[in-house]
Amino acid sequence: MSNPGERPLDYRGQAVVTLRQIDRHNGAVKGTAFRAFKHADVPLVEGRDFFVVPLDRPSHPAIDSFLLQARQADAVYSSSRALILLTRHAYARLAAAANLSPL
Amino acid sequence: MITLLEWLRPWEPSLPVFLACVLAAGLYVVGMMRGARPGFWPALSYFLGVGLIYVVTQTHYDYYSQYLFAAHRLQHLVLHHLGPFLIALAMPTAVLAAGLPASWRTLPQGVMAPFFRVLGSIYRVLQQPFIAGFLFVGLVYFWLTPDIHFDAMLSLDLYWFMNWTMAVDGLLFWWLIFERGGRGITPRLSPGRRIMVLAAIMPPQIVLGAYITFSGQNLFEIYDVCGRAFPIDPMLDQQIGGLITWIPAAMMSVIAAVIVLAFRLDQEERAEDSRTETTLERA
Repeated sequence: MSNPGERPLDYRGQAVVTLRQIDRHNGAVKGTAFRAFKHADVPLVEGRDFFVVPLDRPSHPAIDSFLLQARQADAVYSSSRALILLTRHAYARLAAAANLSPL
Repeated sequence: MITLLEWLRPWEPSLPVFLACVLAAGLYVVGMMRGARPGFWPALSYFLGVGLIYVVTQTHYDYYSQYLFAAHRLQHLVLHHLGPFLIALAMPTAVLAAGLPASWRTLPQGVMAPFFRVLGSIYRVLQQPFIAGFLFVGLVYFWLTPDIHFDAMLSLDLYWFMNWTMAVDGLLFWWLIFERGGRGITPRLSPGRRIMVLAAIMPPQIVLGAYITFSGQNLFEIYDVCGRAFPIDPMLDQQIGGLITWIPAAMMSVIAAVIVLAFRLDQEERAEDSRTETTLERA
């Protein structure tokens, strides 16, 4: 069921994963990664551990190019209007705390 | 395809909610086994109320509540309106008391007595008609303030606090409305005052529901972060949620008013029967 071949995306030079990638990687229902993110006991700092990218507002060309890459990788839920990107390092901490599979 | 077992598994397990529901059902069953006879309809109403509260909080339904605004509104309709409404309609005090150990049926004496006296005073203040009505509507407004709603849906502790406040306030309010039988510590309002309270809480709920339904902007952005449970236009989701806040919530007041009137008529009929019997006995 799980997809161990999930490849992190490159966002401003950082390896990141989306919530959809995490759900898919764990073979889990949509929302599982977000639940783990919401309830994380590990402190996650925006700008360092995760980034929030709005999908429905005009943005920087570099972000547009990233979003294209993310959509091509099928890493965005169609109903999402904002993207949460977790750095690989932050996901490793989250996975350990929430019993998720490491990348 | 989701299996029955997956449906029954809570999305956010909560031991306090689980225990409260099991205790509520268990105590009622023990009360009936010890001889309390609530009747079929009150028992059905009670178990349905407790069961609905359990279903919307401790099954996979809660998943939809967290990823769909309309499902969240339905969850709160059950927690604040329908569930407590059905429980209070059953007036389960006597059955629950029968289920308790005999030594617990009277208010505690000794060192705990002052604590329970204070609790009783707070309860009586909260059950003043204006305060009860204000709290009932105020909580709906409070938790639907977009920034507060965002935080409540993002924090597990706040999420459960929100749900508990809704359920407890619902119980307080509907208990005040349907209070009958032997006098307890709940203020006994006349049918007219009960109907006035029910009428007073309707317009603010209608205004809020209509505002959400007709708002041109996406008010509750928390549901956009991860995306909704299934592909649905955010505005459509918001409109359905607004309609749930508006129509069924307000309709509950109308239904409750009819029930209050029915209780009144029933009371009058019984008094009339009793008078007739006394007259016949004398004759």
